[in-house]
Amino acid sequence: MRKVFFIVLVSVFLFAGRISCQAETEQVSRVRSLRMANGMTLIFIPIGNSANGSIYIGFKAGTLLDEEGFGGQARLLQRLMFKGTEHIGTRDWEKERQVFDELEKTGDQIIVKHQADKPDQKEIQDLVRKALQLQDDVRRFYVPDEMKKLYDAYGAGEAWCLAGEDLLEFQTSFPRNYLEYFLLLESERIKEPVFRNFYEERELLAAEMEKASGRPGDERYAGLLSFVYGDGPYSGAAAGRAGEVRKITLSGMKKYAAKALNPKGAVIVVSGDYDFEKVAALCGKYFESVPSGEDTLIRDDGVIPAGKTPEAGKDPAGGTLLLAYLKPPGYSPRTEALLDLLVLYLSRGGAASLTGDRSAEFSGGICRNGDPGRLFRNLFLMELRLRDNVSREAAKKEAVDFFKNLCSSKFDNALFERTRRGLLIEILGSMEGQEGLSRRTGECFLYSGDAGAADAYVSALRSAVPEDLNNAARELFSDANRIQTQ
Amino acid sequence: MNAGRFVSAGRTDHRSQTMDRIIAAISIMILAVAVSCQDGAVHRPEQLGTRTVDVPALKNGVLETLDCGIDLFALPDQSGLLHAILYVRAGVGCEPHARPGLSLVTLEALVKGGTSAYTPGRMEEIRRDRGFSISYRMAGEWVEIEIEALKGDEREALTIFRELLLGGAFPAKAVDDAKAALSEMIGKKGKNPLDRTRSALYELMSEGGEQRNFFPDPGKVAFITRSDVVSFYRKRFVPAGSYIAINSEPSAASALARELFAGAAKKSPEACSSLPEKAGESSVIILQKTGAEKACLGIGKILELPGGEGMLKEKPLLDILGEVLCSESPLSRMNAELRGKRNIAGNVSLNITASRSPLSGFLEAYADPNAQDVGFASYIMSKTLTDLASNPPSVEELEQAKGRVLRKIGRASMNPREFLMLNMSFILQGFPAGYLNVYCGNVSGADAAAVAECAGRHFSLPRYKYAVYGSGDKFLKEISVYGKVTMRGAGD
Repeated sequence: MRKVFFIVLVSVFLFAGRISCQAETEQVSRVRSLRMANGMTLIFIPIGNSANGSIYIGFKAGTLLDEEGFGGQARLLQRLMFKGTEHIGTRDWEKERQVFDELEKTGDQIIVKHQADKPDQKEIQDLVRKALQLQDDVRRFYVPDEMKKLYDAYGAGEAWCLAGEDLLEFQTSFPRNYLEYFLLLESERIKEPVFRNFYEERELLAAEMEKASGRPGDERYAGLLSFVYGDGPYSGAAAGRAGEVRKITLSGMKKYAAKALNPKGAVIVVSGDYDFEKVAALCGKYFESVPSGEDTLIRDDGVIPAGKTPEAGKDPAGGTLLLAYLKPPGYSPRTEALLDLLVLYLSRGGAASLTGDRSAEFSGGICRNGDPGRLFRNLFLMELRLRDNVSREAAKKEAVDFFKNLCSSKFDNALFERTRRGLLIEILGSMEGQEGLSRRTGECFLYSGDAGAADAYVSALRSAVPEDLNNAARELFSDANRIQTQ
Repeated sequence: MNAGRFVSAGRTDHRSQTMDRIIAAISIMILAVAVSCQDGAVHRPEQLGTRTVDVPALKNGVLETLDCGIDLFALPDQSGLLHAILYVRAGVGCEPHARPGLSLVTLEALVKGGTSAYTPGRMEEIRRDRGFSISYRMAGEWVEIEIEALKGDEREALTIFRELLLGGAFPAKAVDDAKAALSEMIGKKGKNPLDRTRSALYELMSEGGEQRNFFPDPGKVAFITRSDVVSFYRKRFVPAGSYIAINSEPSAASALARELFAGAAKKSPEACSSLPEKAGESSVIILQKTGAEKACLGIGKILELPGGEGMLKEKPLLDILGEVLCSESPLSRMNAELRGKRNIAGNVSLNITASRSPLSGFLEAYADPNAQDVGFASYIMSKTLTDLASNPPSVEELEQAKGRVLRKIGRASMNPREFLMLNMSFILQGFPAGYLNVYCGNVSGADAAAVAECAGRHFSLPRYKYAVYGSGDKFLKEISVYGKVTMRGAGD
């Protein structure tokens, strides 16, 4: 029995399959798409005789793209997206707006006073008292949970909003005859969100973050980030973010939301028993008016890990060896599928010659394709556990050679097939329902810009043969792509 | 547009012209209001009016009885995954009273111990090499064994079912391991007040019949022998009366199942004890937990259901009633009374079970009031139930309840596995294979009067059963007005 093993994670399945597969080799694409004038893409998945409709909306925003010094923006926005709009959740928006504007102004004044060379504490306290009073005044106009009641009243299944690492996502499903109503609701909360209960939500989030910091693994993770990104803005661990959340002001949040909810590059996926023309017309009616501002958040495409910059990352101390490869831009869904397969293949014993009982250098390790948390998706990263008294340089050469030689290695057919089936079942299972299908289709688009990426990923899994892994390895594991460290 | 048509209608006399103008003006006003609603006011929930849920005709599966007596339900779909489920009437409701826990031990030992052809090692290989996922669970009198794999693996999946149904090996170690696993599970979950209350309530409703003891005394589990397990398996795991559900093309699934089960003996299982068809007198059981601030209150009643075709109409009405009484909506009556208006419970739940074969049904409702509020909560829950007959659901309540029932069906229909299981939940209760569409039609067409009449038939006051887990000294006097009280230790 092997005492050690090579733990491998396919951290995120970037691309996923579709539901319409009768047999393993059959694949018929039904997805249609169009790009609206404001840059948002509509993807339509027709599902005949469907009792429900589903809307998925995804933006290229997320916790990784929080602005420097204001960590927590995306998560705070996630919470605030359920607080209503100018039409929903208010008893009288015109009056509420006046108080809101005053509250926003006061919040900004408090920050300015705090940042002064010699802060006048009395003046600050007066402003805080004023802000508290204004918050109470705002509450008088607020109709709590009205948005939730509206979704319930029309039978929305699970209406949710999630700020992930690099995506901000919304989804809801509903009886099929209410498509227009839900398109209107969803568009309205994107076009005119009102951040009621802002300060309460900010404090709740800060308290959550305080609890979460210092968890086991944080330090190790900080090491990973430092290795890949050097001392750049993406190298910090999650700890200490609570302080940053408390710096976010109401006006700052509004500016951030305008960038995060930018339709440029965003996607709306509608699925159900509808005509494409009808869906396109309705989406145009409600979503084309989402303003497309000039400001955008920093995109992951623009981030270059350490090693490609003058300031290289740092090798971790201790018994771990890190090895990272930067995936060339424009990787296809097919290549991603193959890399996910490769990662799983290695985890199931395919790395026996590198780690485990036969290895003199490594007792085990972890491999990641894409984003396991805060790492960007264009990375392929290995953490290898060194045995005692092993030369780091020799071990590193061993590991680099192993991956370099994968392009000519003979893959075990039985192990490959086992791995392929396992991954295919997992992917198909994750998208069996209408909601899963819509979400994965949307996510695949956001990562690839290709409305058919989900299909392509599953097709690649269905037809993959061991030699495909050789080719994928040849493309990635070159010295040119390897991130050099100090 | 209406206004335009009126004006151009061509009438000439003065009165008609004036009338036309008035009507035109009113029409324009109506149009303006409609437009303004579209622009914002329509967002108010109270202004939404009634809504209907449009559920399309659902795909019917094919139910067929094989020569050996197994019922095969095949429901084809577009999924790339295969879902196959074996249902056997061998659950808690079927175990002998002297051997509580026997059904769970048998199921666990069967799946873990394998068969002569499918040893645990072979099963592990199938999991590893072919990606099979094999899970099992128990629901009332049924046990369910489920396989998930890729389409194309139907033969292997049905072969595993055949082996589990006909060739259980039960090595001694598997039986011992299963007993240990059950004892551990009881240790972890068996102290949950809600589960204890539920067990006690079932005990009361069964009038000394079916026990449904979900968490037997671990001491009694220890007495289960391999011989007990094998005997129970031989009696209960037989083809006749069992079901296989599969999301495959019916004719291919049928041919395969006929081939694989050819020669299997057509042997019927003994009947399981079921809940009585008639409700007995009201009674109360207290599971005494001295000093507990919180209590768990369960109210139950045996429903006296109509047999035959009558149940096809009664089932949708009962499900609508369930939604009117207690759902995720804060407007549902029990939620509104206990949580919203009185604020005497944090959690409220209700379940109505109605089976056609065997004819059996019951209502169970639970709440978690403070001990001193148990009497009041019992009164409110009973009153909410009995009031429905004289206080029918409003239009809004009815539409919301119908909508929720239909949405659950609609949502399940979008997921192959859930839809297969939804169909089977009706089939296992004795409804025909194509009943789901009839059911949806009946739900859509139900009116408030029919719902209220149904409530009158089933929820009238006498013959409720009450089970309370909590500090009895704080509510004994109040609860005793509902019937003869039996008190015993909570046992934890």
